[in-house]
Amino acid sequence: MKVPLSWLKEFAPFTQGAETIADTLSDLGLVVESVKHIGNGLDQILVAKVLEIDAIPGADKIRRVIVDTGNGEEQIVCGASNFKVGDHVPLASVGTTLPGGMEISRRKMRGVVSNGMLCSGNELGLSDDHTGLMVLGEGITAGMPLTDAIGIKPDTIYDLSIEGNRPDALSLLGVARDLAAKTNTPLYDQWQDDVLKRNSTDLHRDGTALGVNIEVLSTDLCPRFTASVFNNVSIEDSPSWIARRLTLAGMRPINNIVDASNYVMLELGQPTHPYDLSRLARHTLRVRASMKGDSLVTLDGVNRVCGARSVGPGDDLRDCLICDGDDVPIGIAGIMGGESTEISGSTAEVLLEAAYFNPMSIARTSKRLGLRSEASLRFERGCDPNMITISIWRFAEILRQSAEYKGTIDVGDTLEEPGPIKVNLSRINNLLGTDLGIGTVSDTLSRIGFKCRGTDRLEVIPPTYRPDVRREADVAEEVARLIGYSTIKPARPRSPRVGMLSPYQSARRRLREIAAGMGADEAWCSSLVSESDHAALGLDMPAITVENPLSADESVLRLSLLPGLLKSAAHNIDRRVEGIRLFEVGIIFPYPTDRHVDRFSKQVLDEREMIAILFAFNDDSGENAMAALATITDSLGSRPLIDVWQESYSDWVLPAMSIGESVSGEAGEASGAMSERAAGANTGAGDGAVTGTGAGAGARPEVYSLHGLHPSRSGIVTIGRGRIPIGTVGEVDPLVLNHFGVTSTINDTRHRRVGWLQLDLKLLLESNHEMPTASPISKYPSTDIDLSFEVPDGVSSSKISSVLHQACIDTVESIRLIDAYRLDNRRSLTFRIRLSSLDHTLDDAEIASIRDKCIQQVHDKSGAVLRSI
Amino acid sequence: MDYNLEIVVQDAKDALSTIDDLEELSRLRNNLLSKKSQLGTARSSLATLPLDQRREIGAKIELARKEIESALAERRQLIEVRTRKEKLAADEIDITEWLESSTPARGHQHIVQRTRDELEDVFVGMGFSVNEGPEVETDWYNFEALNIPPAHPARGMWDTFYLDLGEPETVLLRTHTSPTQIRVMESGELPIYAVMPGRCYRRDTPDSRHLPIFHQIEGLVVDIGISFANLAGTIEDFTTAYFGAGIHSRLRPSYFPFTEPSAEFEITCTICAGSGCRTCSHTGWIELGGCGMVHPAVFEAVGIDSKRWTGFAFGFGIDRCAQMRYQIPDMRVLMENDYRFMKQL
Repeated sequence: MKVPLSWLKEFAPFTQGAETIADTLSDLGLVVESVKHIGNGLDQILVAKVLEIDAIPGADKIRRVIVDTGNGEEQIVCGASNFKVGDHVPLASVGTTLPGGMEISRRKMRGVVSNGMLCSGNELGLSDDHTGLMVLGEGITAGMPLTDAIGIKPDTIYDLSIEGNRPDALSLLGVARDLAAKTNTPLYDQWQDDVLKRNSTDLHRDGTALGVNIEVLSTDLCPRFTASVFNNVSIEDSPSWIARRLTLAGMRPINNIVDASNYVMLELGQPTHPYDLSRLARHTLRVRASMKGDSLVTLDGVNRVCGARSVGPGDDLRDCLICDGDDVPIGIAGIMGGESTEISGSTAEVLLEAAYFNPMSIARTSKRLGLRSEASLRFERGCDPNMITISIWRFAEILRQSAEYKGTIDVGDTLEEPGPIKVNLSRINNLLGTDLGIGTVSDTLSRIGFKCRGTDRLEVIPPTYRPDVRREADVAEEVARLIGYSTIKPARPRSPRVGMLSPYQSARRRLREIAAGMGADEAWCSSLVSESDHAALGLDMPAITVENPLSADESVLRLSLLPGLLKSAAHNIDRRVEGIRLFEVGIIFPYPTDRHVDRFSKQVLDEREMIAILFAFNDDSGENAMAALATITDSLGSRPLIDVWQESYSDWVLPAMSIGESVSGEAGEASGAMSERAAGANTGAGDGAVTGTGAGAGARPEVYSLHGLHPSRSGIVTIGRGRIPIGTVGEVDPLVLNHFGVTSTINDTRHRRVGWLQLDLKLLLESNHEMPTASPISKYPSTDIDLSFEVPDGVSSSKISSVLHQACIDTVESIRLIDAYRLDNRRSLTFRIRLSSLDHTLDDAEIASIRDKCIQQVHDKSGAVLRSI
Repeated sequence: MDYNLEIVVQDAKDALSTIDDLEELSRLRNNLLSKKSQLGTARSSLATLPLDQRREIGAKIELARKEIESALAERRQLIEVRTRKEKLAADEIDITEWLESSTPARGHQHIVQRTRDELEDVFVGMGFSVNEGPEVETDWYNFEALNIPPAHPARGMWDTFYLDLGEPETVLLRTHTSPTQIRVMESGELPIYAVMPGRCYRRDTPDSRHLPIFHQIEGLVVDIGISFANLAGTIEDFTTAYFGAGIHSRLRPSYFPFTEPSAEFEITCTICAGSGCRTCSHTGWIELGGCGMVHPAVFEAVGIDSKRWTGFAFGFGIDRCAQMRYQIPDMRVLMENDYRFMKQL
């Protein structure tokens, strides 16, 4: 809201400087967004009358002008063309400095001497108009100071940002009241008495009087409604002081009636609406709730349909309408009037509406129609019902010269006066951390119109213009605001607890460190993706849709971190950045199996926090992703049992179940290259019975499916003996890479491999929080045996590894796959098994026996045979 | 015995001084010490000497031999050192080639995540826990429980993305981290000293200072005797701990439906240290976030006795913090994951 300082001073004699006032307003919570000084440096600008205009030979942009300065004639060269002989214009004579700092000197243009400059509104800092000279109105004479001629004095305009709880501060009176209270300046109350003395009339309580008929059918939407009749109206321009003030406050002057209505709204905060009485069917106004099918064309020329959509819980779709005697809607109450009864040049009778509308109803309708106005801004915050009649009389007073006030019909008036608020002084002091006395509190409050009774336990009655103050805490804020927040001495509270991150939060940080340590940069991708992003992965499960997206590209909640990271990779590749590794920790949003949700639901979705790493460095492949999985698993204190399931290689079935179900520990023997660590450390440590995974929503294994991944180079990561799916590992499908534009710019012929790892953090981290225990290590020399097997297709190396592990469980230190190749369609895997004993050096016989056992068991359990070398 | 042993030794030393090569050295050694050498001949001719001279001359020969041996060893060491030096010298490289061709093997954590970690750490140090809540919320948690009833004009402060679940406009992407406050209070454990970081969503067109997807951190303290002065103290402690000793805070009245009294908090402009610049519109202060005393209606919504317990809450943008700290002119770059940006921070 734009507030001219000169207007504020009508209400109280503020003597502080403009900057001090700006600070004070901000300290009051009436935040000053900007301060604009106008009309400064105009002292030397005079009015000149144009006597002659002549062309200058050879120049088509500038002309020679002779003006009467009131003190002789001067010759000026001027580039503007919007004036004629006889006009009065502002003249800056030689030696004058303009508000912008420009100094006027004698100049010669095309051989013609110019003794000054004729000015535009822009050059004088008075308007934004720089298209031509500021041509002044009638009734002024050459030689007058410009400031006298147009009645301006230097002024300061504050642009205030008024918070949603302060209807009163959307008026000059309200701002002045706060400022006066804070600065101990007496507020002039005299003007109100003057208005009352000169204009008040008896109110007609009957709906029918003064030749008009008023019906309020929906008193819940409109508790109080008044209509005032004005006869013998002459429509004309407003007096210049009104037009000027409206302009300074950011409103465009239209005609005396509309301007008076706006003026009263700015001054007192009460919106009013003038109707052309003669255009009002049956001279009747009817206030009612909208019915299905109601519509009207508002002043802005838009057809508005009422009750069209719900704007939230509890909305009964009733919009408050003003209708005429034929029940035709002619205005949307409290928001905007209709075209049909607009004031026009021929209006001779005016009916002025001033009412109190239900704030919530106005807010709903305003939101429903997407229509906000100066009126709705005030009504939805709650106007002062006691300001209605004074506003009417103020309107009448302003129009005294051009309209005859006949009287007012006042119906409704069912508003309750606010009751007293019980305020305990010590509680106020406890809440604020202050030690204020009763005197300070009641003095402070009374300065903004609150009535206080009592001593320690106060009864505070807020004024009707402060509907936001309802409770003790509201009163405390008023006190704090006026004594100044800065006067409250900061004090440090003391937490009785040790602050620390949860184990989950610490582990998540550690995993981010590890991912970065593997050369991946952390990305932040949008949680909103497009349907086609999911379709490109082949994800055919439903995703949650945004009802009102900003664009189709960001219209569904993601089901995987893959699209986002691929897009980020493509973004970089497009900019010729090669060698990308990216990771992200973020939420994915599986569709709920139970769609029932209401506004009190404690849990809407089973959101899953994932960590994903995309390996797109030049030589990256799924191997890097697998190494990352190993590193991540290793970094967890608890070292859970991790397996990888791949359809054509696994001899175990991926559990088809919802994650919340408990899975029996008997589901399968421990297997897998990584599980060996767990088993080796402690037989109990790998028992990953997943507990505490939250709700049992069932769609998750689907989400952790292999969509978008290379069909023969990827698998599902599982945790625990129950092999609960927690993510995916492998390579991205080359087709998907193409779709997202992740292709090599270095070598188009080479097939690009991109490694991928995505894990459910909660399942990973909360599956097992046991601390590992250390096992003793051997003091005796270890022995390696290398075994090369010819392994049938469909038998995984994890399977061989796990059989080997079982075969030498007492003496194994480590088992590693050291060579894998395929020759003549025969697959060979070489494992290096390192053996040692805790109490002696293994002798040749022992080693030979272990070797035989290994070979035998691998053959028995997998069909692989030792390769003849 | 006509050899002058001194001359033999001297000749040997002279010969050695020209040798630069280990092979030549071993040839020379042979020449100097073999049976056919002057020394060798001298030794073999000892037998022809009378006994009384034998011992004397023999001792002299042995002395000369030792002297030659030691000169040989000295020369050998010299050559070895020199050879090693030359070999290493030949291996020389401009090591700034390595410097210039190296790239860090380590990736970078996202600047917003790192900022979040740092903020969490400051509050953890002040005895706070870190709590997180869902990003998809209901109208109740995001608005109503926070004293913002449906169609409340204040809802205009938060442009909301609604989701196609349940009745229209009941399920949404949270517009702030404040619903997590409600969840923490609902859990019933008092007192509360917690911060709640997380991702939030507002239906705003992105510009240099706003993103539709952004991150906030919310603080909540509920205890007996908590006052507005405690709020001011906490904000000030945090400000100096995080931004540095020269940066202070101040509170100014504001409005949020879920706090009363409400305030916005400003900190000393980090660009000009308070002396006034364009960033702070020459005020010396920049707005960081909102705060206030928990509104009794919020306590009522979660079943906390507001006569007994009081509390304060505050919240601000993590992305804004990062933007201010690292002087990022346009926030949109944060979501692009552009290597050229990420590698700088």
